[in-house]
Amino acid sequence: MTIATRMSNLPSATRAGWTAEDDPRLALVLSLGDDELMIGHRHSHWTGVAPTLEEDLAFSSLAQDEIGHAAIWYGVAEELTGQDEDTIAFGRQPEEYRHANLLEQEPGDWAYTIARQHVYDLFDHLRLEMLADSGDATIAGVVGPILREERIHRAHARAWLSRLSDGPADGLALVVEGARRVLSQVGGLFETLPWEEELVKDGTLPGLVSSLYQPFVARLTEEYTEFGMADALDALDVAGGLGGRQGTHTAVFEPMWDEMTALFREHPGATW
Amino acid sequence: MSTTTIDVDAVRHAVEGVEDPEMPPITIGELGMVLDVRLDGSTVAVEVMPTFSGCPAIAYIGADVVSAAAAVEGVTDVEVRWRKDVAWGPELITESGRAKLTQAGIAPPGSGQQLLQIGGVTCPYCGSRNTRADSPFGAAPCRSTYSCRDCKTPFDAIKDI
Repeated sequence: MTIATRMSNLPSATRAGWTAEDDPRLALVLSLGDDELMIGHRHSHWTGVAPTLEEDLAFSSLAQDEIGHAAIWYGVAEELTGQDEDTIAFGRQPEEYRHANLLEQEPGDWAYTIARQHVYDLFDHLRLEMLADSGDATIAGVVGPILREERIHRAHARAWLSRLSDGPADGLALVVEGARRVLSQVGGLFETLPWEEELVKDGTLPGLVSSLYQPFVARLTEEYTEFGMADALDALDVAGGLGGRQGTHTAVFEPMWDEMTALFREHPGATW
Repeated sequence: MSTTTIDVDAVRHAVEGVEDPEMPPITIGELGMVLDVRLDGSTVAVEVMPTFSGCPAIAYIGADVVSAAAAVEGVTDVEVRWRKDVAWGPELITESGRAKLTQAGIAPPGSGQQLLQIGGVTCPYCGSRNTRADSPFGAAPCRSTYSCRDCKTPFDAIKDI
């Protein structure tokens, strides 16, 4: 896949919004891009206000990586639809986004942020490993660079949980509490997309995303046990946080969408 | 009818000489980002890959590649294509790139660094290996943050991915 460079200071014609047509492959690619865009946006909250300078840089970089990955998936969507990347990213109505609802939740406190980053990147890692075997050459092709960068995200989350497990009991208690909140909405990550079974039949998806739930729980149990967080595991809820893949989001998404798309809507055609 | 012949090697040389805006004077050729330069009819087609997919310098580098190629005699049309399906890795950095990175105060990859492990990276200022990994993230998506226990200087290293 290739993406042509666009760089102009001239506003193009007013861009209208966009509604994705009903297409199984497009729905999958949008869910991948939307997940990365939302978690990237929430990570970027910490730029300037993280507890340490290192973490300020870390979350700014994590945000940049995730939004970069979103741009890759929207680039694939661009090939499928002919729409430009920005319109795909910002031109849709809130109910047309297909990300898991866990990822739109406000950053909350540091414990919740770290617990969510760890859970999401573990899930994303398993999903990317599965997509590497996709029968769709474009999808399989872009997975390599993304996976390579994601390794650092996994290392970051594990390092924090390891540090917290070695520290005072109140820090560990906070992260267990944050993890419980995350796990109560974890089901949304594995929620079945519309037409997902068709994608499995035609080989685009090597398996249903929901088939990753058991391996996810196994890995999570292993890691939480290692970090003294096993108490949080009983909050795991495969039926929690559903709706996002179908476009039904929680109350926090509308203000987030409003902020995220304001520039696109108020200055149609604006470029850097 | 007269036709101008375009010297593809000259174009490649010009493109490879584009400096990374975040780490001058290291060039994109030295970073291993240039995949292909060829003539497509009368259009010069350049294929490049980003170091990190979310790198904010991509648009600037693309514009600089266009200017560099267009400065070569006979070139009128330039098309820059960013390949997102090829994984960049620090092993692609050339010897001269590594030397320039060190001079710029950025430790080149492969000098012993491992994610989140203590020490091993050579300090680009004093050459000591008594260094500390402060964070796997740094001032640009492709860099990590370190500091030297001997000369007390904080420095960046190219991420070992």
